[in-house]
Amino acid sequence: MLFTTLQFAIFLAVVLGLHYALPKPARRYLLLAASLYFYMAWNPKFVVLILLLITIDFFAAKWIVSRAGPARRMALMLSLAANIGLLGWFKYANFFRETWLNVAHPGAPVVPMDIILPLGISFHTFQSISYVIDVYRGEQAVIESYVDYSLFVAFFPQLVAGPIVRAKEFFHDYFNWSAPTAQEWHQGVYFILTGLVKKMVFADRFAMVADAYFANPQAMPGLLQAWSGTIAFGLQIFFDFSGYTDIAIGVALLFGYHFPENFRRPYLAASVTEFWRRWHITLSSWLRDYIYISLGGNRRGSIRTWANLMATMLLGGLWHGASWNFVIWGGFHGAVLAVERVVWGRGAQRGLARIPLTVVTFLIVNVGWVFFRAKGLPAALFVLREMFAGVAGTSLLTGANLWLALAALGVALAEEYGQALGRLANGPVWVRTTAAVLALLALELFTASDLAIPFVYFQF
Amino acid sequence: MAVDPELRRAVEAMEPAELDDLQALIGVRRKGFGVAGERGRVRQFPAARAWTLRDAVIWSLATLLLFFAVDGLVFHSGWYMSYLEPNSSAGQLESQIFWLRHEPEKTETAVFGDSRIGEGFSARAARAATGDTVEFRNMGVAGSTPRVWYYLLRDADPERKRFSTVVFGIDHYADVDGEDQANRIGDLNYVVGRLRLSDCPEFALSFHSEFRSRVLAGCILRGIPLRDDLHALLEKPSLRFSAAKDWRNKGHGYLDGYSGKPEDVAGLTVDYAARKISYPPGLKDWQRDTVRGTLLPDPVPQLGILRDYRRKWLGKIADFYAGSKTRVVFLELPRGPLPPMESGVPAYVMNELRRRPNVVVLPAETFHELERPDLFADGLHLNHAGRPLFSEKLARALTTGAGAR
Repeated sequence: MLFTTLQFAIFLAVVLGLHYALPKPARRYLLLAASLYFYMAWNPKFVVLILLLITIDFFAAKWIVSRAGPARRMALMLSLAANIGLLGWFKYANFFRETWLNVAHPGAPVVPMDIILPLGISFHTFQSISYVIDVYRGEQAVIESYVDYSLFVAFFPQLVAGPIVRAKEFFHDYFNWSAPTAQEWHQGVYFILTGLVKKMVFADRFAMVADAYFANPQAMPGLLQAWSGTIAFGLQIFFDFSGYTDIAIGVALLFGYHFPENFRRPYLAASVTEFWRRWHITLSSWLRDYIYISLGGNRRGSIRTWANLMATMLLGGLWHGASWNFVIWGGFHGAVLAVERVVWGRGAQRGLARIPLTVVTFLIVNVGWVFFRAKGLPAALFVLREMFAGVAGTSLLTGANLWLALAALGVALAEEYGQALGRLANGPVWVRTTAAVLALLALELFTASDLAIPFVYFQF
Repeated sequence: MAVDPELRRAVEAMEPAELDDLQALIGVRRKGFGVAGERGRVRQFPAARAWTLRDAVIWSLATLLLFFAVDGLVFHSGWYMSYLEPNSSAGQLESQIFWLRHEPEKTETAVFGDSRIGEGFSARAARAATGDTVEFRNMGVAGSTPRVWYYLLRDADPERKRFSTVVFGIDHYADVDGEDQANRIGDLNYVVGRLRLSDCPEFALSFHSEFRSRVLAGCILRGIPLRDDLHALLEKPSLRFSAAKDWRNKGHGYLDGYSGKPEDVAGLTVDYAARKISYPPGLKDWQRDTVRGTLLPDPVPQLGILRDYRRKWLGKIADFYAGSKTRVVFLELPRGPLPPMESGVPAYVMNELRRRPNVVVLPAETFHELERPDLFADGLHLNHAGRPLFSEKLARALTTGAGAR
């Protein structure tokens, strides 16, 4: 059930209506039932998997707080083994098997095992893991109710593609629940509308350019083709994923829950380090808190810090998908982060120097996207060769697509320096209403395609 | 409030993300929303007034209503429909309605169908064949189907007295399954301007389940099926406005004077047993493709899909004129440049319709003698030589067999 479908709109209207019609104690059951229904709309049988993980982590956390010594650690390990084991099986079994067979029997054909990747498994396992680790570290109180914990993991707005919500964030709202204020309701509506516009008007249009290019880059040789095709993908993935996140945040707000921010205009970052503070913030902060810091962070000298950075980014790359391209993408970012750390330390870039640095950062990030999007390493290397040594060629971003990109840049700058969308959501009623009606008209009239293009991050 | 300068400097040096975390920690704002300024500083915007949640929900619903009102004003008022691209699906259909409404009313025989009627029938030639005693009108719309004809007819003759006879050109009487016409989502693009809100449920349900929600949304929000048309209009608005105006004023005359395609497929032969077609030299791809599709279509399982579809939509057309003075005539068009293989599938629907009092089904063989390669431009359409022959023959068949007046 995609967020962009009529089916989801009806589902949301029904669940919202019931939520506010039911007495408070019944609402958690409603939300859990609705969340499981939402999940089962994709594939009913995998509900067993998510319930299994919920059950293991729920009892592991209880075990951790009720025991002392090695038993606590064993419960943590059991939980981690279950989560990482199942994630590994569903997501990485074919990858590791294929890699092993290619090494052991070079040239032999490899038939992949028939394994379906459960929807959102990368997101809800990370969410569960963070809860169990936080309980182990004493940073999170154990949740006594199975229903409460199940709802935390399965809450439908964030179930399939995040944001990755921490237990303390969710349960802060959950145990102190109050109906959204009018301002929050407005913000919720705005998040949903901007998310839909980002996805259906912007992302899907850039997807057509990127898909056409990356389907067969060899058919479109040329420097400008390579850069514009890659930038189209960079814009697609940003609008796609941040659009999804906006809808998730907006939907949660309508129910009275406050999800963390996941994107903060990442393409205005003046360094890759800053980019990761603005891009998929809930994942990057998760990686920082549970991997980078667990590995020692920056407390054990420069070389160890760089190694930790690289390990974290490699794992972050692998999290995105079971392919060497993602590993290389993660490694590329890890290397750039390490270099930036040497060159700039942790200082932020300010003033006019930000302008050229922002352009350079944007180009570096787009070089990384080549590995992320290309079908296999040879295709990625071809695109990179064209980017840096190809003949001039012609840009694939023309006409309406170019105007859309420039409009997006204008909105991003207005938001960065003038809080334009915030002003809109909090402005006089006629401004809010006009903006909302214009957004709805944009969805009706400027949606890129009649085809439902899936969200990119669903595959992760 | 006095703030320790060192603390102030430390806070000001923080990264946006760190500042966000700090603000969330000390409860200045809830993490994840709110309006953060540069480097994460929170700016407060004055609320217009204290709204309750109930107010906000009412505002949401009112905004939706306003959106529907704006959409209705543009797309349901008829304003936009008068500036459609004339050659588009909806543009062709709306032009027919426009001409009917803006030309002097007279008793006419209207001939409906797809491009085979558009190309193969000349109202002028038919009128001449009756000694100018019967007025004809070509209502052929390229690519249209019985479902489209029904909605076109309903608005073309709302009082059921404009036409003395309505004629429908059917490609073959036998209910042979081929393309599933019930699921032609393009039909929405033809009739989008003719559908009323009350039609939407039935129209959407006439498609299979995978398309129903899309069709329903497009029926209510006409901007969805008209999106491409709007984008083209926005690219060159002045050109569109003048083209639409020109077509409205002169298009019917252009069509009336049209003499047909000059091409032919003379020399075409087919060996049905060997499933082999011999094309004459010089045929274009579009001619070859249509010839193959007509004479040697790919076999399709016969499940009665076309029978059910025709029963519904041709039945609704016959129902529309039930009890009126208008006669409904069905004819089998010349089926192709050569007589096709008989399918063996019965003509269930035609046999049912012919029993109705206001319906005439012309004998299937009426136009079979026109199934000649020299009279066809391709596999489907009569050419400039076939067009007058078909028109005259149809006029005579109607005046003698079907009582056109």
